[in-house]
Amino acid sequence: MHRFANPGRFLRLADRLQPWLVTATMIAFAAGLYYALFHSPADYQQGETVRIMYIHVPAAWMALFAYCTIALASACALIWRHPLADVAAEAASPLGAGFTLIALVSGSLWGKPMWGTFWVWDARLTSFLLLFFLYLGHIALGQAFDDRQRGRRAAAILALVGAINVPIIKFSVDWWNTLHQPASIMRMGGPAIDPSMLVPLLLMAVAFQLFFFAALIARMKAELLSARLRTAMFNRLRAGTAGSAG
Amino acid sequence: MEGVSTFLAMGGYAAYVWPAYGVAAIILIAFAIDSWRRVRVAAADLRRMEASNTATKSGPAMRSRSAAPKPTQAATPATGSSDEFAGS
Repeated sequence: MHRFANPGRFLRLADRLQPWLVTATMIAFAAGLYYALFHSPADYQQGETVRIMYIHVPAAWMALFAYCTIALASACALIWRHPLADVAAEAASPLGAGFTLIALVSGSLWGKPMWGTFWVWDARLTSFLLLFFLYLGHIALGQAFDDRQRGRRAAAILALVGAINVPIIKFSVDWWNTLHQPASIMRMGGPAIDPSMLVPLLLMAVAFQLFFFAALIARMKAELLSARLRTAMFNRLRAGTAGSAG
Repeated sequence: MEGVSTFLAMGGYAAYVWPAYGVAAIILIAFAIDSWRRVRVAAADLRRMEASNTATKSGPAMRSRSAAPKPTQAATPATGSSDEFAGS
């Protein structure tokens, strides 16, 4: 991992990787949408609303994945002071909030025709709403200090404390009574879903995952370039004052 | 033509299926544009900064900078980056 600790090396790697990531994301979305909207059958119980699953489930997975990324990066930042870890956590946070919002809205739109309600205050939905607020808090806290490094440290601690919410979300459907159905893919005994629906689901999951990495790398790159600019401006300012003093 | 309208009707659930896809599309496209724009703006700002740095190289600011204790540490990545971002 420390081979990529050097921001310059990361930037070179990002530039080489980015075109491939963007292309792969587009192909995965094209294939995923084709299977999700045209090729897969309607569900015998849920009818055409099952197509919401191909948005809802990948978005929810990515909401959790992005949070795990932030928690891991925050741990690296706090323990090893890895110079890219803070940048990664900061860049992932808005993306995670976006995925969470997609999962909440699409879930709500799925719940209305199938459960008869947009929202219930059960364990899964409430813990997922909490995840959304954790993301917002993480974004806000990271920007709340004039000293960027202090803000990032505070945000990292919040991210680690909030990580307790991740297993709560995952197991909420087993621990408490809920309208939400239990896991049907990542469960003991293999996926309980027909291949005709599993294929579009996995394609969309890959597309969301690739999108996350492409956007994450772009946002990290933008932040590293801005940091470079700030350093250069600071140095020029210092050189300027030193010149006028001498 | 009839196939299209059946498809759009989504078995009577169009009011739920399409907004779900629409919200996802809006959020993802917004993030894609925002991320791409951030890189472009940051790279352009940095290039402008470096261009003005080389322009004042012979000026008095540069001489005093070399006299300052540790500015080379930050000056190195700034100059080394010019070829890195030429392609982006």
